Amino acid sequence: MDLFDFQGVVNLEESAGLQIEVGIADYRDVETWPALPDLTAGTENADYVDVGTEVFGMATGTKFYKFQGSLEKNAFNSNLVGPRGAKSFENTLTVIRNAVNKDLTGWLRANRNRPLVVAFRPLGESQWVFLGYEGLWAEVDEGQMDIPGEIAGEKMTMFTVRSIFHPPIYIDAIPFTEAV
Amino acid sequence: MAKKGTAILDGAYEVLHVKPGVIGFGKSFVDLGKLTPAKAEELVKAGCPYLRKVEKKSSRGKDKENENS
Repeated sequence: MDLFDFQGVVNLEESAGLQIEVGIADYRDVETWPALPDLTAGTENADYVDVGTEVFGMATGTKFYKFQGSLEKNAFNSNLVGPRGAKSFENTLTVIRNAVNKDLTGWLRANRNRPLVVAFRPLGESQWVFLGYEGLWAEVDEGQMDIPGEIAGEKMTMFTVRSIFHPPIYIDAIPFTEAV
Repeated sequence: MAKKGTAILDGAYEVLHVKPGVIGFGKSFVDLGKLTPAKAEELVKAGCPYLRKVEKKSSRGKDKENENS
């Protein structure tokens, strides 16, 4: 792995926030995985986390499903954790929908212990970022449903999805239609 | 992993890996089952991994015939 310059390209569309749609697949439906970047072949920093046009090879009839959060609620956090010399990534995607209903309750019941792969897009970006990879799936870490008593309170269903070790990986496309 | 392609737009393009339907690509979502030729060309040029332009075999064959004559 080589070291490259970072010269802070100016992106006039830079913004915080995530798009409301999150892609979620059952880890066990992925048959072949996008090849992770080769750490010896990169020619720039992005090469270490960008799989570009690689695709998820999904089992026939399976796909990524959409989960639509609320505007300015979904959030992403990645931390380098561990002792000196053994730093690793700990990634957390937070998804919040300002509603509590039987569909959301059912979603939590059905997926709270399911191994997952999740993908999201930062606002204004064209690539997806995914968490969960072969042998190291992502999983629901926390979940909460809240109906405050006061009318101005934040009614919501939220869950966080956590993955470890790998950095967030960038990919060009996510399949929301069944594989053939 | 290309399993097989599904022809769309009179066989001019092939949808790869999935049924012709929605994928997340670029800054939005694209329905590969509802493409116009212009949009399909745009996606191929943008490097969409779920769409391929089909080479026209007949014209190649004619070219070869012309070369051989």
